[in-house]
Amino acid sequence: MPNHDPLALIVDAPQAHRYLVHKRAFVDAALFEREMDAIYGRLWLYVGHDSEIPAPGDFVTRTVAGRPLLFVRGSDGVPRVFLNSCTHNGAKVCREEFGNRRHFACAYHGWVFDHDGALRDVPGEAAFGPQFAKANEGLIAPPSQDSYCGFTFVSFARRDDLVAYLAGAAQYLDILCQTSAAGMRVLPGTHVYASRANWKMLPVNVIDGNHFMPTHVTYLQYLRERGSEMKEPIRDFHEAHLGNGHTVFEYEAPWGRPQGKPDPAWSDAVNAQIAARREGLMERLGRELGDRIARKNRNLVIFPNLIINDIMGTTIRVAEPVSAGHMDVSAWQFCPADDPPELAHVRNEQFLTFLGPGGFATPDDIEGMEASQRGYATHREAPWINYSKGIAVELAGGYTRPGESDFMMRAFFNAWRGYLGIDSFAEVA
Amino acid sequence: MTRTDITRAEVETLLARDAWLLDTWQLDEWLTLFTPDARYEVPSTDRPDGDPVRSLYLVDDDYRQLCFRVKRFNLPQGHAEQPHSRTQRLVTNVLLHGEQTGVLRVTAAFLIARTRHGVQDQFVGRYELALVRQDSELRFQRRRALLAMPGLRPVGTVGIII
Repeated sequence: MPNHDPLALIVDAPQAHRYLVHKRAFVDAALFEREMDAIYGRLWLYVGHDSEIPAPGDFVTRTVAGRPLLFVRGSDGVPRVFLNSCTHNGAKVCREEFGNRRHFACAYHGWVFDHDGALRDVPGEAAFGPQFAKANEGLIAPPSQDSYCGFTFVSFARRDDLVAYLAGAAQYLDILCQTSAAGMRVLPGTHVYASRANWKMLPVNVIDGNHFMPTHVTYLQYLRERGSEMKEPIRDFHEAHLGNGHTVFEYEAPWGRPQGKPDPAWSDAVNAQIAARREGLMERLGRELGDRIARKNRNLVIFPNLIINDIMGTTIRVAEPVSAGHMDVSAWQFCPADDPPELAHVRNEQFLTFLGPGGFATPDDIEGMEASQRGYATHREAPWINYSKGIAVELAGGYTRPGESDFMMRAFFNAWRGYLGIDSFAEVA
Repeated sequence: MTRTDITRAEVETLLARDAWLLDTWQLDEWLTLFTPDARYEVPSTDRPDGDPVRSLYLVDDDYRQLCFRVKRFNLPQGHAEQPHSRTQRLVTNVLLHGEQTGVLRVTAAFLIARTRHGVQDQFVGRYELALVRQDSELRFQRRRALLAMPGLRPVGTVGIII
């Protein structure tokens, strides 16, 4: 065993079949500040989906990388993101979570903005003098914003390259948006939860195929008891680094998918609707793509913190970094706009029981992450997290099956180190 | 509409017994407080008035799912509650809202102090309950827990029954 640099962020020694990440990367406050600058201050970050604000004046408020944002559809029907801070004294202007408004009045000194971000009214305007012009004092937008398939992103740096940034992940958003001919939408309601764990743990949990069996034994028992059929081993498995730290793995769902794969646990009527959905997909998109959307699960991570699991249900999830040891999680259900009620009921059951923070699986993921966070307090004496699984097989040109490789975590952390632009904790702070 | 014999004392006893069975982890016995057509619901915190088909809920259990929820607490691989949390529930502000076709509507406030891994968190909110008499016992036909909280922050998840 070679001696590792005790201050290295990552030990990448493929010839020794070793890939290690320093536990300090999850607990160090100075490194967290560097992440907030080099990653959350520069990359494209998800804000919301256009379907959440369908009509002019519809808005939601979000916190992204600590900044309060207002995501609102303007009078011209265009969704826009503004920094939710009054251009006068800086107070958060819109203090509601969602709604419809033509005007947003700041509670503190009464400045009023419209749903296009323009400043409309200033009490005592004349006292600001002749050089003051409301036209120059509208709500300020983040330096960059753009959207792809209705997924709206901002960057707190100036950039105009969302599609290039999404790289290979863009085609998975295309796939997702083609799931229903009637379009896809975010269901009203947010799973607002949290974990006393570093933000990186959530994306890593999603791409970590190794944790499923030990962590989710009870969920599989739930599926068996409700009468679901499970096919093992997992078939048609494919995992890929899509560029820029984005990753996906895709495989045939071992059980039903409301998106297009019937399940014996569901009623004949619901299964008929699901079978018809699959037929419709194949008719509309061709046999290969239609069948793929219907039958296969996809776990997609868009670096740094957007997670789209198109699995038992489809979730859009964001891990918002709060501090080195704490993340806030927001999750929404992304679903066909035209599901009949009985299919929607099944789809919701799938979503709540696996993906929900009150379900039979996600609380166990959170437990695993928080147990890790507590364990990482040993970083001085036992610094290394081992993501070496599969290196030996990959070097030999072999194929790793699900649960046999940490390939995806290595892709995630290589990108992470690249964005940070440092190799050693000696370079932090 | 006829008034049946359900008294306030009986309702309060049911709620106290519910809290006691949950706090002492006597979950199999706790399940007997429910009718076989019962539902256990927790709406999302930003859509407290939503319905479980057209909006996203946190929990929308029928009796079968509720039984599995209880079973999971007793499985060694039910990691989120292994070891079990220590809880102390306070249930108060009990109001009887009248009875229709044998179903009594009740609201009550709850505060659940939950200790796990050396940290204490609080779940707070109100119950909207539908109670019926079945086999001479008063039982839950619907247990809807509305959280008066900023989402599940800082409690993390709803790993316990609320």
